[in-house]
Amino acid sequence: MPQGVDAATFTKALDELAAIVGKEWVFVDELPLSAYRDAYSPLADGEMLPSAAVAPANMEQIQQALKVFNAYKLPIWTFGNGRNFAYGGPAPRQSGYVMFDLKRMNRILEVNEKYGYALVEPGVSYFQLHRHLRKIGSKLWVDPAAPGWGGVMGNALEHGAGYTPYGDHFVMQCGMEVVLADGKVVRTGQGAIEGSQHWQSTKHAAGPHFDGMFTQSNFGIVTKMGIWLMPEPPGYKPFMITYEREEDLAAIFDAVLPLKINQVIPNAAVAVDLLWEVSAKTTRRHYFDGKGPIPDSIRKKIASDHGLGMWNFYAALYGPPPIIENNWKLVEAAMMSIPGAKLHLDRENDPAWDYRVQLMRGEPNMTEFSIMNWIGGGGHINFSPISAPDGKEALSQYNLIKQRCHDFGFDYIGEFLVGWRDMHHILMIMYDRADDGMRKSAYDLFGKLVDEAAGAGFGEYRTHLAFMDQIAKTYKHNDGALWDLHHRLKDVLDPNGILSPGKQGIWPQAMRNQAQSHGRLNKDFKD
Amino acid sequence: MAWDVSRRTVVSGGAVGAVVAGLGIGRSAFAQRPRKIIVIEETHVPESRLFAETFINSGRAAQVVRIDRSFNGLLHELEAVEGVLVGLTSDPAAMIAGQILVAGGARPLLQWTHQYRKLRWEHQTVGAPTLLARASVGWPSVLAHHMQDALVGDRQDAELRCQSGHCGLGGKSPGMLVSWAFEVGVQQS
Repeated sequence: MPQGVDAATFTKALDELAAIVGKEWVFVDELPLSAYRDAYSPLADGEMLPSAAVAPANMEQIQQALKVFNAYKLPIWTFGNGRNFAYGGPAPRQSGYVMFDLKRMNRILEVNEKYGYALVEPGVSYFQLHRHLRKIGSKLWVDPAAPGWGGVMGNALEHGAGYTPYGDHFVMQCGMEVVLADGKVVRTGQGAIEGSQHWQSTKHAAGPHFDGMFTQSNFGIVTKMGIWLMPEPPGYKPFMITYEREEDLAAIFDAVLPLKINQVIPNAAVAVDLLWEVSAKTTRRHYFDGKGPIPDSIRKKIASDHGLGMWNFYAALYGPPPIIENNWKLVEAAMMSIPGAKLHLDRENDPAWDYRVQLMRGEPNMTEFSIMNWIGGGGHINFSPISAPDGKEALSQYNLIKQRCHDFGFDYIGEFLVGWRDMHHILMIMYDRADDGMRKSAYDLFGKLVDEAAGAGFGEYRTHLAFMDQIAKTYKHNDGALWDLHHRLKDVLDPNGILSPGKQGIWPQAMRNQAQSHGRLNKDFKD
Repeated sequence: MAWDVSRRTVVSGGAVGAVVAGLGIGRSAFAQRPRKIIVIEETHVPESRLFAETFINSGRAAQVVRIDRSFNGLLHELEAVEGVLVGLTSDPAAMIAGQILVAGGARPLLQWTHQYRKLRWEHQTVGAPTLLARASVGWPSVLAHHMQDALVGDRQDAELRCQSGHCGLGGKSPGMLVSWAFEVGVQQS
C-alpha cells in the first residue's frame, strides 16, 4: 500500500485509474507485479516492491492519470522499458509506489534519413528500433547499450552509453516532449515553435536548455524524445589489443587520450579487465572453487588459456577505407608501443569478441548477460565512478577499487570506457543472489566505495536505487547547494511530490523531512 | 470493481522466484488441459542440449526453440508462442525468459536450480531426489523425465535438495543452471 493511504482510498483511486486506462492495464496481483522487481537486488527480500502498476497508452491518459495521482497524493515510479538492471531494474525507490509503466507507448514516430535521427516514445527498445530501420531499408545505425532489450529513451535519460561513435546517449538526444506533474505538456528546444521541422535537428533555441533537467530526475514525464542516429559508414575496422600487465592501464590511457580527443578513435573505446572479458566464455568454478578473490597464479593461467591480457582494449575505426588506413597507422603506433601488446583483428569462436564487434557497429544483442555465469546466481550491481581519461588516475582508481573488492572477498570485474572527455569506470560487483552473506557484503562494499571514491574526488555518474541518497550527499560543494537546487525545483514543479520520489536522492518536501528523521536514507538493507 | 489490495505479501527479490517458489502454481489448470510443450534449448550448454533431447525423444516436445550465446532468440521467438515453455538453461537465460514471459502474461509453473559445487551437482527441486542424486552426468535427462511427470500433476509437493556423487564439470557448462516452465496463453483466474 502506498505510504499514508488506506485500502479504501487506494481502491477508489485504482477504480478511477482503471476508468482511464482500462481495467486490464491496472495490475494489483502478485504475478504481474513480480515483473516490476529488481531481479538482481542487493537488498534483503521484500524491499522496494510496488503496490500496483498502471500502464497508460498515450499522453492524454498520462494527463488524466496525473489528476488522480495528485488528488490522492499517490507516489508513482515512472519508467519506459524497465531493463535498467545493475541499477535497480524497474523497481521503485521505496515499497508502496504505483508503477507508471510506459511500455505500451512504443511507437517510432519518425525516422529521418536525411538528417539522421529518430523520434521515439518511452517503450521503444534498441532491438525494436534496429529491426524497424532494417525493415524500412534505412542506412542508419542505432547505438545500443550492451543488453539490446534496453529502452532508447530510458538509457539516454539515465546517461547510459553505447559503443559506436554515437555512444554518449545523452549527448545524442535532441528534443523532448515532457508532461509536468500538473499535466502541462512542454516541448523543449525548437519543438516549442509551432510547425517547426527542426526539433530533432538542433539542440539550440532561445532561452535555457531544459532537456538535462528531465534526465536522472523526477521533474516530469518524458513522452517523446529525439535521438541522433549514425549513418552507416563506408568502412569499419574493429580491433582488440591485449596487454599483459595490470599496470599497463596507465600507459593505455596515456596513449588513447590524444587519439580520442582528436577523434582518430571516434567510438567509445573500452579497456576490459581479464575476468570481465573471459566470463563470456567460462566460469570461475572451472578455475577456482575457493572463497575470496582468484589468486594471481590462476589469473595468469586464465589469460594464457584464452589468449587474453590483464587488459583487453576494444575500439574501431569508421569511414572511407583510405581514412581508416591512415588513422590506423596512428593507432598502431600509439597503442602497440606498450611492451607485450598483441593485436587481434579477428578471433574465432570467441563470443566476447563477437558481441563487442556487433555493438561497435550498432547491432543490439544480449550476450553480455552471459558474464553473469561467472559466479552463478546472477546478482550484480554496478559501481560507476567517472573522471578524466588520465593514465595515472585510471591506475590509482583501479588499485583502490580492486583492493576494496579483495578486502570484501570479491573479484575485481570491471572496464574503463572512454567518451569525449570522460572515463566511465564500471565495476561489476557480482554475487549469488541466493547467498545472503555475499549479497550483504556486496552492499557493504558498494557503500564503502562511494565514500572512498568521493574522498578521492570521484563521483558516480549513475547508481543503483539503494545508493541514490548516499551518492547525492557526496555532491556537497557549498553545503550541498546543487541538491538544494534540485529540491527547490522539485517543490515548485511537483508540489504534491507524486513523481518518482527519491529518484537520484531528490525527495519531495513531505517525504524529505520524514525520510531523514526516520533515518531511512542509506539504510535500505535489513538483515 | 473490486481490487484485492490488502491481502498481498510479496516476499522475494527475484524476478519470478517469489511467485514460483517451487512447484505450487497452476498444477490443476495444467493437469486439466495438457498443452503443447515448447522446449528452449541453449545450444552451447551441454546440459541444456541433453534436457531438450530427452523431451524430443519422448515425443513430448511439439517445438524446440534454440538460442545461442546472444540470447537474442529469447527476445524474438518467445513473443508469439503459446503453450507450455520448458527449459534447462543458464541463469541469465532463465532470467531473461522470465522477464519477457511474465510481462507478456505468462504464468510460471516451476523453477528449480542446479548448481555445481565442490565436485558435485546440488539440485533444488520438488520431488525425485533419489533419481537426481544417483545421476551424475546424465542428470538433465532424469530431470526432463521428472519434469514431464510434474507438469501433468504426478508429483510430490515438498521442496527438496539433493546432491550427486563426485563428478566432473563439463568445460562448456556454466555450472549453475535453472530448470523452469511457464504456461503462455491462458487467462489469469
